[in-house]
Amino acid sequence: MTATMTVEAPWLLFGGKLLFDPVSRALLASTLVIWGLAAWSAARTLPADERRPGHFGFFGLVMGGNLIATVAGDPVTFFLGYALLGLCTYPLIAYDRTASTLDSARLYLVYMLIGEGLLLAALVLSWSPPGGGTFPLHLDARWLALLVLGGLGVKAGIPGLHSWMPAAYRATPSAAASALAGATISVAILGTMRLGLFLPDTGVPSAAWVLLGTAGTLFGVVRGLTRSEPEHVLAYSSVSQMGIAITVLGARLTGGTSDAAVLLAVTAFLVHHGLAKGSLFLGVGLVRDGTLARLPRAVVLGGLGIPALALAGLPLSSGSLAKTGLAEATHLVDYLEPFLVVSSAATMMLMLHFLETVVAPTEPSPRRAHVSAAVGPWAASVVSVLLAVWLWPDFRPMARTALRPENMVHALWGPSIGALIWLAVTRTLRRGRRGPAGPSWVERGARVLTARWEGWLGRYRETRPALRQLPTSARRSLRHAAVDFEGAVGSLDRYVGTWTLTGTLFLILLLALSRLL
Amino acid sequence: MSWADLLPPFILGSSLLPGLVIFFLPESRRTLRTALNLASACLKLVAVAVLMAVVATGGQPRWEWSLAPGFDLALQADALSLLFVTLSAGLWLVTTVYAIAYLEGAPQRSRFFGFFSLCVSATVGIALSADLLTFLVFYEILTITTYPLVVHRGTRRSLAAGGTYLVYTLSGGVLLFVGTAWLTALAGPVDFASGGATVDTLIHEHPGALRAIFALLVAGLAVKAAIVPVHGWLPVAMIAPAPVSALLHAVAVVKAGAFGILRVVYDVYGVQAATDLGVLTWLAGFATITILFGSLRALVQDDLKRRLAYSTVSQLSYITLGAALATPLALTGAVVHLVHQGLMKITLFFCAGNLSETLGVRRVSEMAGVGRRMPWTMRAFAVAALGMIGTPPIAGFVSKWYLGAGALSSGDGWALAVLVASGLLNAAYFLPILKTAWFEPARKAWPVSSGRLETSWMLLLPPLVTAALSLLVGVCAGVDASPLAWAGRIAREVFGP
Amino acid sequence: MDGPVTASVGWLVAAPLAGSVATFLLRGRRGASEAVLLLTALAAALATNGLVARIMGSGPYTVEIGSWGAPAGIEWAVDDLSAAFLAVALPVWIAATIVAHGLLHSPRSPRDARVFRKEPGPTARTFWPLWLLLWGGVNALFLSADLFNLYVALELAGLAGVALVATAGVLPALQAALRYFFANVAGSISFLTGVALVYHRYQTLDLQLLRSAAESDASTTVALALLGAGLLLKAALFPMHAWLPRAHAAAPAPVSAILSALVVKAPVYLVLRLWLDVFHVALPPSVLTFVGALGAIGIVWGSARALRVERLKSLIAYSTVAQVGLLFTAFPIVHAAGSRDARWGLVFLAVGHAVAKASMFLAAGGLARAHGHDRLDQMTGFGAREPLCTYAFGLGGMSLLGVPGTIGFSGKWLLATSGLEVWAVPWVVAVSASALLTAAYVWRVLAIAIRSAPEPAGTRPLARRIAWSAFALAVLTVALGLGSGPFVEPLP
Repeated sequence: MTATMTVEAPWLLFGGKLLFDPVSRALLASTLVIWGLAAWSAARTLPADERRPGHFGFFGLVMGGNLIATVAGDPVTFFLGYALLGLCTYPLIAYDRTASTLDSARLYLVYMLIGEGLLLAALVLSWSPPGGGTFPLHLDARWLALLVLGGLGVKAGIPGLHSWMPAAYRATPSAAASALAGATISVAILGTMRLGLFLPDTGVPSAAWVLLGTAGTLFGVVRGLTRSEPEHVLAYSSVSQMGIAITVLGARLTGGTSDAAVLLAVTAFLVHHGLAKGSLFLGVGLVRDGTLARLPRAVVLGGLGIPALALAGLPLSSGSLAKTGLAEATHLVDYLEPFLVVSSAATMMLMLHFLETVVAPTEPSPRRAHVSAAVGPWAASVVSVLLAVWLWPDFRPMARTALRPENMVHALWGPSIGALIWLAVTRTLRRGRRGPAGPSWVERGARVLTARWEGWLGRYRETRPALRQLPTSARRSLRHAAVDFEGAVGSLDRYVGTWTLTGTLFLILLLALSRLL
Repeated sequence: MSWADLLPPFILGSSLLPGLVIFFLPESRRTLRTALNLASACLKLVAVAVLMAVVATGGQPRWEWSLAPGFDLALQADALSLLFVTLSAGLWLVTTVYAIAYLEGAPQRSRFFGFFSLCVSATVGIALSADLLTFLVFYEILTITTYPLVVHRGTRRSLAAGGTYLVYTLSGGVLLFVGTAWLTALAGPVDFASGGATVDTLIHEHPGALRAIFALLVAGLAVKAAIVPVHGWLPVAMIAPAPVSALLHAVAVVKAGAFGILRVVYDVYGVQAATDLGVLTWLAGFATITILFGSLRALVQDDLKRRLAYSTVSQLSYITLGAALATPLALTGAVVHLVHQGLMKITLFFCAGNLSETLGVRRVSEMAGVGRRMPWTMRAFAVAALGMIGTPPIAGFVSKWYLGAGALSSGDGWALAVLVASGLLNAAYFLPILKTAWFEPARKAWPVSSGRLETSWMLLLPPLVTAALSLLVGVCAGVDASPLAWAGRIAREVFGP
Repeated sequence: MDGPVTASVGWLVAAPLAGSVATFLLRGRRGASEAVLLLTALAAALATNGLVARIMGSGPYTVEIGSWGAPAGIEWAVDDLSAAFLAVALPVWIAATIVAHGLLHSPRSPRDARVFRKEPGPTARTFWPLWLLLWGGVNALFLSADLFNLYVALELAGLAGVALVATAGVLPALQAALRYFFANVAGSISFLTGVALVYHRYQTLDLQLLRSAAESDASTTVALALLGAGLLLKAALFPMHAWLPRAHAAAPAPVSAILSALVVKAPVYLVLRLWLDVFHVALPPSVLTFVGALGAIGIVWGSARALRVERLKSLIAYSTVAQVGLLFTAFPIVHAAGSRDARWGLVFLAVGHAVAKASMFLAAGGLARAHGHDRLDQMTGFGAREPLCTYAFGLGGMSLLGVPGTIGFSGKWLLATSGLEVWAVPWVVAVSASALLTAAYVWRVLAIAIRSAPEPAGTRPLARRIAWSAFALAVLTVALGLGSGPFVEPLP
């Protein structure tokens, strides 16, 4: 189970390779679980209308892309999976076909396409053609790194490139959202690992990555605390969590940390995050359509609380395993330990805020009227959050470390601090934070930009006749000139045809010829 | 002369002779006409397969025919010819099936299919031509034989469009004629097999003349290859029936122009001479302008076929750009895009034809909700459109990748940026079509389909076949028999191992 | 120079002349006239065949009539130039004869009187003798090897042509015939004066002898000027072209076909023969530049008029003006290059024009008969009704354009390559770019043909042989384009 296996598929594109190492195996398994639960939930929650077959079709395509990207062993195959999942997510987001969901989906697509373009450029730039040799054109490795960061960062939620997330997660049906937020986001981080974004060769100092990751972590929490829609809070939570992953990956450049251990730890983190986030989305979906309102409060809080607290890193949760693993793998890096504690605290605050928003959502879901028997999948997802990470063979060493008493106590610090701060803050600021949050400035900006674009297109269409008049009028004047010329020729012809003129011309010709001869 | 040498003229004749017969068939002899059409298409494919086998085993068939003292027609089959002729023959069969269904009940079908066959014969002649003069001969014949197809409907607008088409293409023909005559006057018959040896002997004495000749030749070819600023005939010619647009834009006319540019740059001038003369920079410049301009114009078209026309203008210059970059990878990308763009574009035009024929939908704004009424057509459209954008694993991604890599290998990184930008522009005008079709509710009731399928099976099958092929050649690009591998072989032949 | 081969060349002239007399005596009786025509055609065919075979086998040769040698007797000479024209003339004559026969003998209905507005037209009695006379005259012209015979043949052809134009019977035709007559006379006077001067200077009229004796001096110069001017007027080179469109448009269609195809070609052939062959030592290039320039203007002029005129036959006639201009723009190239290829290029162009123009006029004749008139704006949509005529016109037009596969292209190509070898750039450009102007007026007609429109009242079906003859000639341009190689190769 620990061996690394490569499968060659030379017929695929430019020669595809599939890689099965501990990282991809773990992610593969968790991806399958998340998607399976999402599919199960979708089957239960989506009404049986004409959109359903299409939705499931794209479900399958995104899952396919996700799986391909997860086990990809070469950049091109990875890009295949990444592009596939990126593109086919649009129909999932736009399921409702209302104006706002279409807007959110379009916002997502624009970001995604630009990101794919950047990534494509980076991949072509770093490709070595089969005949051997390299390109005479060398882009500074820092620029390459920037391109890859742009390309993958869109999906991973790098602050600045994350703006599509809140609206998209809000618009997507909960089942699909759980898969998107849970599984596909890990693909981006996996991509950074596989492409070696954080390696020293890129020339980017590790401090830069750490800064970026930390900024992401804190930014996600701060923004998330200001939002009141549960999906938005979860989106910002994803930004924050991926920031943690980036910080750790970036930090490992210093000090002699073992690559494999760090990668495996980050993988565990991604797995845990995926399962937990997925479960939370499933839960939110049930809250939205009122199912959970019918269940006992304890069950609801338990079902939602377990994944939430797992994300915060409470002892005995999957989060603690992941965080302990991260700490272990990077124990030679000084500043990471306090960072992990701080991030736990921050995550705890955000999760408590999330639970608060879930209890009283501000806007009922449009799907409220539909039947929901999706409690089963949700329960299964909670169970998976509880157990899966602990049971995975490759994570055993990390599990053992996490279960050590001193680590368990240590794991308690972060969440406790966070809970205390949050309680203090909410007590004092209870009044000012209710009310539906309006669209974020990015969404507002996107709406303005879209309106401008449409306006420009419309004006361009209108001015097109005016612009086109130039060649058209040129053509018209040419035609007039031709007609006038023909007319002139015609009247001249009649004149030439008169005998006097013809005779005269004949004699002139005669003279001319004799002169010339 | 062995029997293999007669294969090229046989392939030519397999559509020429039935075409001449079809001209004289009365309109009512539908079955016979259909049978002749399909039989000749299949026969051509079989002959092409045999030719491929012959060449694969090392044969070099060549056929010559004296037209007048000192000038001969010559046909041969090298790797590039085979690629183009296979594409033409295959897509012709598909288009014939489509056209038979599309023109059901239309007047003057015998005339249409007669010229249709002549058109394909001319394309095959272009593909198999062994020297520049033969190429010129078939190139001009192609112009003439496509005109009646463009104006088939006989309305005032069709005739005006046909007139525009003729003005452009005949002017281009004159330029090509003068260029060819000049080069022949300087250097004797210009054979393609020499790979540029003809020009190499002249480059020191007549560099200015060679540059002028290149300009003339490429200007003449640029008209058909729809390079800015002589691209104007293409959107106008969209008034033709959909099978004609499909044929013109995927197989015959535009590809002939692009193919000609490849031949001129690599087999008449040769890479070294072209680079030394400095003409490739200009070519690359015009190609880039065309790529961007075509996409920008496509953004604002509401008429579906015009949007596809401008998309063709843009995509075709990928081939020209690849040719101008002059590296093995770029040439591979250009040659393979010849095939891939053909497959994808013909799918798009077939789908556009289905929409207009079955539902009367001609504009993008009318396409709301059409995805539910004609799901398979729109699926094929989606596959082809995504391929145009460059989404893996569809064919377009493969050619774009190699073009980008080729740009880098010649040190022209800006070309990679152009390709990426063009991909985004493609997305900007293709994705809204998909969104309108699938995500907007239908605004009016569509006519109900008569059978179980959304439209006639003969209209539905061709786009599905070509869309599947676009997907297949992309996914299995690593296979030895794929167009990509073929293009790689051609590039290796040109540049040496 | 003996035996059956000699005799068969003579039949080229003798048979039509004899036939002319015969049909005159037979007063146009139905069955007998056909028999005479058939025999004439057969004889001409055999003679042409023998001629072509002989020249391909053993090269140029001369024939003595009455076994008296030069300079006393009449000699006929056959070389590659004349062989080409004669060989092509045969199918043109046959097709035109078939069409003429068809038009003469198509049934007329009372309805036609209203539609045709009293178009009397030719009758068999007057038509066939003149027709065969013209045939003989044209053949004699191509065979003649001395200046006096040339003059006689030229006069014969011209007068027969005038008379044939007049057989159309309506006032415009008579006026046009008169014009044509005056043009002929003026040209012939000039030509005859030139011939007299040559005789005065060189004491002989035999072309072979003149070739070896020619010198560049004042009297030769004046003689060439007179000869040239007369021929250029007869060839309707701009600006003395005005008589041609009227005559060719007013004449019955088969007559127009022969006039445009062969009778106008004869002066061009003679200019080629006299200026560039026999007296080439006395010819400075500036003359040809002048003539070439006139030709270039003629191309533009003729094409511009062709785009404007309202009648189909006028259009085709102006096309002849343009094409004759094209032939004369090729003269500087032939002179400058001096190569065999250039000469064959010019010959191909001329021959191609002959066949194509004949087919276009025959098709126009058929269309005029079917519609009762040849006004273009009232013939819309004739492509669907008369497909063969349309294809004939189109294919002929393609040859004039120089679409590859036709003989017009072969001509253009040879001229272009030879011209560029000697850097005769303006002429090469003129030859190449003329295709665009030609395309303009050919397209004009084809667009009218293709436009879908309801059938106008008064159209009637056309006799099949008329359409097929026109079409067969058009196909010949392609056949010549593709298949003339083996015939031309062995010739010098």
